[in-house]
Amino acid sequence: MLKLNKLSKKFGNNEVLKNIDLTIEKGKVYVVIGPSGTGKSTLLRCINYLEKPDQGTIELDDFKADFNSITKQEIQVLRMRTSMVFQNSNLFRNKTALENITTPLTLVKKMSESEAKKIGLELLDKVGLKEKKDSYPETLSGGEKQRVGIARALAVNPDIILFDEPTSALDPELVNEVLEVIKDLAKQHTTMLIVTHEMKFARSVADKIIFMENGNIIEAASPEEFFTNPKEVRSKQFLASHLG
Amino acid sequence: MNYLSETFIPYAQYLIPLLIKGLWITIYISASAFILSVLLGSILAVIQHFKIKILAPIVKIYVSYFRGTPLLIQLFLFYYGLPLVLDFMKAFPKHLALVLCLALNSAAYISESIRGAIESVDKGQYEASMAFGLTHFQMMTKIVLPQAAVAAIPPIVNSCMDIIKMSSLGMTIGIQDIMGEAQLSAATSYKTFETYILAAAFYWILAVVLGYVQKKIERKVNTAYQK
Repeated sequence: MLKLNKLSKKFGNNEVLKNIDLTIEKGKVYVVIGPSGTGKSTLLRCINYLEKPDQGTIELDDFKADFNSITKQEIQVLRMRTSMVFQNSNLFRNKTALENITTPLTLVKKMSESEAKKIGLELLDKVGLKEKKDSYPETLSGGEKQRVGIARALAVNPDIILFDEPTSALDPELVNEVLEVIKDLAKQHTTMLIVTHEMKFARSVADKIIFMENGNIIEAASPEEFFTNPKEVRSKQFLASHLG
Repeated sequence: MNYLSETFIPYAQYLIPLLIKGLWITIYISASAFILSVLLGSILAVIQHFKIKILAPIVKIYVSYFRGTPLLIQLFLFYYGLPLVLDFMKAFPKHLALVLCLALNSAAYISESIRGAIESVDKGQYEASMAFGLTHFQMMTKIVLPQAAVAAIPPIVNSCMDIIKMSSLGMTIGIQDIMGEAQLSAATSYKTFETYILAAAFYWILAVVLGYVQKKIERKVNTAYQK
């Protein structure tokens, strides 16, 4: 379980996140949607401490940290227990597909080379890229890079995987292969927090939809409820403009 | 034809062994200066990249001075000037003086090349490293610097070529490298044309060999980035 309490973040005078409270249950998929520039990605990046929140607390089961007084060790724990799939994959360009997965395992989790390799190959198989294990990111398609990125995020065995618009940078014909992998993970009850603009996908994969606007969570509801009978005026307007 | 067989070839047979003697001096001075300048240049680049307090502005002045003044003046100041004001600089070995001046000068250029190369690495590479909990040191040594190397190698090899050519200034403080040998022989034989065309050939061959080595290295470090 992941719990955020009163999370706030400003960029200069611009309040990007305003006292966000959010609880994510284990094994569930939470999908964050909302207009551009409403703090969706920042929310994810704060959980991983890629952005430094101005205030708030975070809990991960027995682990608890206050962003005002977070220590280096706590940041490290946070980063080891949450993992990130980036919009542009951000695969390590000097590492092969397999090495991209094993590098955090050997460097951070201090696993042996052979142990890490075993996990890496298993996960490449899971995302359907076993034959690409020795390929460098430069030779992979956008969709393949994202799938390796997902395998890399899975490998560290995190409490939760954070997806920052995983398909936004992809050519349309490559979107599906990535969404399929994420759907598979959802079936296996991987805890995920996903920021996306793919409404159909959000509806089919989410256990809960989080609708954000202007740094606030406006509505949190099951996908059925949200897409067929949204409670808030802003949700209705958003859906009207996005579902046509 | 007579010129070739009666003048040029006999003179070449006399001069080439002398130039080869000078060649070794050119090579060892250039190689020492190059290694030193890469080490120093890397340190300067890291100081600049991370904007380390107090040191970073000093490095800036250092780079500005060594890029903005002629090497010949730097060498004369070091070898002829400093001994007049600093006692321990008296009887400073001239080979070492040249190596140090070349290294100090070239490090200024190399640090800029390395800094540019580090800055060319995509921000996402840092983010991914941090997101997965790599330490700062692991991030730099395992992810960022290996990628920066690809961009840094061509300008660094250029600097190496510059060092070889600039080492010929050692002649002015009496070093018997390729240029020193050539100058001496030209002065005693009056065969200026023959002497310098042979000396030029020696430097040129060094440059061609270096270019070949560069291609080999580039092919090796580029494997990850080829489509």
